[in-house]
Amino acid sequence: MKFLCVACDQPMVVHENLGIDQGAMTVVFACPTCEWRMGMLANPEETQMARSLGVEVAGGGESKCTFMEMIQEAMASSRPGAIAPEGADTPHWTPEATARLERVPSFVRGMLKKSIEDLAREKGVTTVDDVLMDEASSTLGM
Amino acid sequence: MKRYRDIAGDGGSNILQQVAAQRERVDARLSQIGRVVAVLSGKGGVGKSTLTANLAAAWALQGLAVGVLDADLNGPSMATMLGVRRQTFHLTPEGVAPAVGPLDIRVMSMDGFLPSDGTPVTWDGPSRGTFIWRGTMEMSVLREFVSDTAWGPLDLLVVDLPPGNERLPHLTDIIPTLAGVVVVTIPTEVSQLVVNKTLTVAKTTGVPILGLVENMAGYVCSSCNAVGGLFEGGEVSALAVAHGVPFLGSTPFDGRIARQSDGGVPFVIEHGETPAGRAILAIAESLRSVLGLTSTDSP
Repeated sequence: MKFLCVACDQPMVVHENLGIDQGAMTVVFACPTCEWRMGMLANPEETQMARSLGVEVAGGGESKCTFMEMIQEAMASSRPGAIAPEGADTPHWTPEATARLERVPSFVRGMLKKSIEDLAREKGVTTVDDVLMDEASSTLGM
Repeated sequence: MKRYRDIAGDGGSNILQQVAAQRERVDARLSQIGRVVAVLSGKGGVGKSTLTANLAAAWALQGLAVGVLDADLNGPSMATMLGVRRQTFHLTPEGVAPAVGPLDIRVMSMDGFLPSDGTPVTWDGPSRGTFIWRGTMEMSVLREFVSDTAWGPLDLLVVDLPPGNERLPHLTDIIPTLAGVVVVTIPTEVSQLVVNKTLTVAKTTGVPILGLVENMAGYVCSSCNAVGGLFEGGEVSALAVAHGVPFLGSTPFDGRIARQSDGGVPFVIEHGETPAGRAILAIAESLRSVLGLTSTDSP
């Protein structure tokens, strides 16, 4: 969508994005020649359409490096902690637990190791030992 | 007075610039992936997701680095079939690390974002007019799955599409370099009628059709491995011929396939010597040859 100042025959430019209020977006456009201003008042469906594209009117100025922003922000009901923050500690494995893991068939070892480490984080423990392995055996069906 | 096309750019909204930035993120991620292949069927319940999981496992058994993108956002099944339902995704400087399945198959699925088995995927937004924006929202999520998952170097990324014909054109918008699609049907006339249309849609997208697979072609006795009849229907190979696409083969149904899928370990890993296992492995080998992939192709 583009806006034209008919009097000047000049394309208008975004003057200010006033944000979203109760689901509806307001953006002020201005003619660069005569400075005449107009407000674009989008209804909630139109606002949501722009949001669904993952873009922001007059946005994108700064470099964003948020991953899976849409999924994390737009899902109405999502699993808390579905994405663990950067730097979440990797638990320490005791030699006994490592030996037990090595007895598991190699084709499932990688996935099982990750699942057990997730279980350790979930329980707030920093070491994978025999006790946790016993629990993993029942909860993960090892 | 100027008209729309007389005005260059997007009127200062910066939307084109943001879309271009999204495109660059997708391209950067795809540069680490050798080939992207989609598994597709207009008909639901033909075993498309099961075939996806088993093809991924077959390729991983052949030494390829494989990822699976579950594009069925509203009915995700790859996390179950590849045994990663309890895994948490981890944020890294490169993106969101995928879950790790058997044979180190990397998996990204909406399943991992849902709080419970009974929770459907719903989005924050106005309750009226969801038809206007829901499809766009789902496209954006798919784009994020491609661009924001730290897949690492992959030989193959396999995309499990939801049932229906409409998702393939959407996927080709996100991944214009799609190496091809594998189309799945079962022998019944109803399935072939629907999949006939799927093949037509696939051709209009210009994406190479790698071939047609006949799934559930007979039933395997788990005791003696004999194959008996299951569905009536016309020759699936004739449908492939009619569309001028390769017929990749027939896979019989084996009850153990379902059990293995529920257990999170694809059937071919433990039963590759059975009639169904051999059929899937042969299809995987044939596709690998068509795609020109060896295990050293990782970029």
